[in-house]
Amino acid sequence: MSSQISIIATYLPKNILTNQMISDEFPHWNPEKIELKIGIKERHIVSDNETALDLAINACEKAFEKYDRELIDFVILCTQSPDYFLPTSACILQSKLKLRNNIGAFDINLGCSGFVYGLAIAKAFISSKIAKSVLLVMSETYTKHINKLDFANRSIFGDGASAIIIEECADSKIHEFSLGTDGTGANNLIIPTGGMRKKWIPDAPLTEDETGNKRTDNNLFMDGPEIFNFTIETVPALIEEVLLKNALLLAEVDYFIFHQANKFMLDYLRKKIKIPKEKFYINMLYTGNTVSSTIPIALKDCIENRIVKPGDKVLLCGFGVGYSWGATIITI
Amino acid sequence: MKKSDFLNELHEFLEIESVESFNVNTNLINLDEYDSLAIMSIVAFIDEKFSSKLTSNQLAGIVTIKDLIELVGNEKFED
Repeated sequence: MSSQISIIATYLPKNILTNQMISDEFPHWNPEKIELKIGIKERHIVSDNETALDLAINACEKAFEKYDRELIDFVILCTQSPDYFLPTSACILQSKLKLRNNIGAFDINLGCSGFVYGLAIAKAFISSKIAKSVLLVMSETYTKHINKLDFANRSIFGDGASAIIIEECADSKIHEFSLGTDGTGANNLIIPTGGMRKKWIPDAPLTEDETGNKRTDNNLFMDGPEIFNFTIETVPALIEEVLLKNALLLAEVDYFIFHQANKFMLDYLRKKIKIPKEKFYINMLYTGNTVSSTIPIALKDCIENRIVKPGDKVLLCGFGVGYSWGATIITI
Repeated sequence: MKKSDFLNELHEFLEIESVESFNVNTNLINLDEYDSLAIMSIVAFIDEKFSSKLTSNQLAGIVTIKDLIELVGNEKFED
């Protein structure tokens, strides 16, 4: 059985953090420079009592404005900010959304590659007749993990959720995948404490990096140069591989949507892979890097604003924490 | 690549305004513009011009442009 994306809904929390607000706290950061370099002007931030599960519920309810929830027969939730170690957030989501009981539900713990992996699982479940209508939800609140004095990460990440419904259909619209993993990069994008290896440390000491950003081991750590190196090494090869698997040339792809990491990195990748500017999506101006939701947010924008049209072949590519990466081609 | 071209192009690539030009002894880490974005730009610049990778540890050891040139390798420059 073939599969297609039928619905894309997104939800962003109400609080907004602007570049000017970051600059007011940290005058060294120039608001215009942040916007020009990383392509972000504002990001949405959850309130203290709001979690990724809450964002997920809101995104799904928006999806159900156009789709009968009774048809959903599998729930996959991608998050690295679960409400609990256990139970699984997807199980709670099933009950909050009042979905049927005779359906499967589980979480996947991935970051920026999560949407592509979720799409791969949904496609596999539909083609093997395990499911007919998969609700794939991405929801992330990285800002809860970031130290208030870590202005570099605060300027990049925003919170958000997306809900995608993938259904069986006659002609396949989700094509071949290339997936990849390299766990040797685990320490370069990590929250060191809070799991079983190293417990959360009360009053953890603050450390400062060479550019003045401060964090503790309880916070998100990102080694920017190493992540940049990983990306510029891995993504061009990934694009080559996924094109080969789909028997397509770069020029035959109508549009490219990469994980919206930051504008500088995307510009550099685009030039390195030699993708024409007019075929390459860059827009995270009012959302920031929402981790696993950047591709669905971009795809929704492209469809609604006719940047892509029915029949177009669109290459989707996610990469990041793990390291983990994946790409596929879909037909709109 | 000539060192003089390297200095000019790096100055432009990093969009430096706090000093008019670079010389090999320019102290990078004391520049107003030296932040996490500048570090990412240096990694990109070196990849683009020399196809060389700079690791985080190597970058942490850089103080002056001379240090950066030595990391890239003096043999990669014509002068």
